[in-house]
Amino acid sequence: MAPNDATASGTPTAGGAPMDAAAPMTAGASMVSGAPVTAMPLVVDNLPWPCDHCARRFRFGVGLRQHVAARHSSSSVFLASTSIVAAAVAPASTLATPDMNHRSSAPPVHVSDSTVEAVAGPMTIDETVAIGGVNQPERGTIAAFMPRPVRPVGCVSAAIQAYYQSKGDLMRTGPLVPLNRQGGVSAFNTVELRKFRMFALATGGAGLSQTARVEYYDGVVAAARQTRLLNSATGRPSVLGPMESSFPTAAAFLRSLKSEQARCLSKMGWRVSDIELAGRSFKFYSRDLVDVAREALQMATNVVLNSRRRFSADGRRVLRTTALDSDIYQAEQAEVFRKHRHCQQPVFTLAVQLFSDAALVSWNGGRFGEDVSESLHACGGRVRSVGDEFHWDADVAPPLMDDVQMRERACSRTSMSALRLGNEDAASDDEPPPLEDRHASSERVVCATLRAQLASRY
Amino acid sequence: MQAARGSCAPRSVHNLRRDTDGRLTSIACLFSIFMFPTRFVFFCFWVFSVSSAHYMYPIRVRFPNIRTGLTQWMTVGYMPFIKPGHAPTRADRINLRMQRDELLQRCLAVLYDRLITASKDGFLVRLMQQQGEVLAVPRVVLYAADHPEERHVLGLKLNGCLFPCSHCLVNKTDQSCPGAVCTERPVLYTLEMQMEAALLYDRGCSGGRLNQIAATACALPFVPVLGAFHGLGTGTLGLYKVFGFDLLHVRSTCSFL
Repeated sequence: MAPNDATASGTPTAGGAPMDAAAPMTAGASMVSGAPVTAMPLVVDNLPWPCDHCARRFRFGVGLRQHVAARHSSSSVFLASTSIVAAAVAPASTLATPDMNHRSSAPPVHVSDSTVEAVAGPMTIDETVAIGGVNQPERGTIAAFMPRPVRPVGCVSAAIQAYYQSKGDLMRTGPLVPLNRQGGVSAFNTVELRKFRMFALATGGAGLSQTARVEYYDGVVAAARQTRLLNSATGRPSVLGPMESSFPTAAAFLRSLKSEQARCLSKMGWRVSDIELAGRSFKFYSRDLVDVAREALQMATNVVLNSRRRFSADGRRVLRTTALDSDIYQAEQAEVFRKHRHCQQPVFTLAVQLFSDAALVSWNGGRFGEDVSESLHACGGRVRSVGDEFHWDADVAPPLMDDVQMRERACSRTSMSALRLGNEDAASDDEPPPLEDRHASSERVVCATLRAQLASRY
Repeated sequence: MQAARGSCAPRSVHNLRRDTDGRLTSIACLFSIFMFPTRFVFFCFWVFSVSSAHYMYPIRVRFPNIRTGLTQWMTVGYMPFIKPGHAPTRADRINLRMQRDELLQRCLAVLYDRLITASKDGFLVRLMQQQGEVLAVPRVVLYAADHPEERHVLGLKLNGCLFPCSHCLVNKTDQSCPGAVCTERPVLYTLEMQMEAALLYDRGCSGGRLNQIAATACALPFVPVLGAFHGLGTGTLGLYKVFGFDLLHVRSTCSFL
């Protein structure tokens, strides 16, 4: 396609303009390449995408991008896609309005290059070198018939992050536990009380129901009273049992369990987000991943900071046995060391592995913990795809389970069974139970699951 | 309106008998005799409460750098799920699928937001085994998911596209050939196309351009949040290389091993 015809200042034409070009074509205007361009109207001021280099305005951002790439590529480094970031930074309502209503008086949000740099971060020399696709993979057949404008590497990620931040979901994210219910001191401060708590919260996965908790309290107190009567009959000292001495009534026991739930959830940092979508509101429960990583690192006694590529004895084969000597991690580690080479503190690359599977929704009605524990014995390794090849990582734990020790423990069916039956000797407080979920459900079940997870840790 | 309600009543009772147990059927029939609107509401609530179908699924994270400590997979979120089969018509089902994909991306965006920032700048942490603070720069090295989940997370079409592989651009007519020539899927190009499609989709316009992007890049009008991670959408561009599947999933389906 022939490039756009040059226009005089303020009098642009839209001849071979991209399909999103703003200027509306007059009747009979031809879009055939090389066809004479008919007289086009002057600059339309109410179009939302102005060009920074001339007076043209465009209806869509892609038109502006193609125009800049075709007409101003020599005068601009094309710092980020200004249009994309501008649209992303704009509130969602602004995104939805301009093109549906071309006569909207509200001007679109437009950011300058400095703002773009603030969003995308300053472009480093290395990123600048990547302009033009030096570091980009080979273009396939797609790129041959649909060329794209050249841009720095680091700006796509900033545009994506800004786009999703403009949705406002983070603004609607708050702690799952209200502030007035956070904190507090646990009433379960002895080993016996913690075992009572564990049984009440973890039995059957979601724990006991309210009625069952009352019955459980009554049963324990009745047994303690009977023991006290026997002690008094035999002349031994009769003291109150641990349950009755801490919780005089069943209602006090229930209240303590509820406050324990709030305490654990707030300590773990669970939060809830309202995702507004098509007039419906969805609840999304999550934790802050940085806080999770920081907590895990601070609790770890052995952390691998650096990993080297390992070779076989003859030096002809690369050994890949764990996630830390994989090609991806090695490449990321080199990249991180190169970018943070001037950092004062020691730098290491924290590998993050993620797992999600929507099929878990239908697994046993959302109860997949039992399924996992029953299937653990069948897993001795993992197959993962690295590039175009598949590698067998025999030493890497499958994603759904813990390390080898935890796997063996779960495979022994002692831990899960103990949790179900409340056998605290098998799943003691000293060794936290596996953090496998037993429920993925509504807020009530989420709270119950997290409660059970944290019952022994906090 | 009354006629419509009356004609709907027997069908509802029939569904009730088919879906739930006998006790529920008898209770619902009893309600249907006297108070139909109440019965209908009661029916929906009851089925939801006893079916134990939780429309959420977890997302987990693990840090392989940690050798001793919290080495297991930790649940960090519960994703809401929309079942498209509940829509009455095909158009509604398609609409629900799009909502599900958008919901997935937005939930992931909430979950990953700070980690994305940290993947660029890192965060300081104090370790037990080392004096002082160290700068931890998180990078995603594995996303364990099966093929449908992978396509959903990447914002790619699951079927009805020319390039069904997420890693390369092998044509669907050549994907079963051992010597098929393929190139890597261009990360930046696909992300840009998806970004453009997402902006167009948000405005509800330019269906032709959306179809063009869907045909050429196999992309849905959603940009994957994973592309915002440094290292996936920048640097080594490993967005399509981090996906793997877990043996547990494969073993359970007995497909390969």
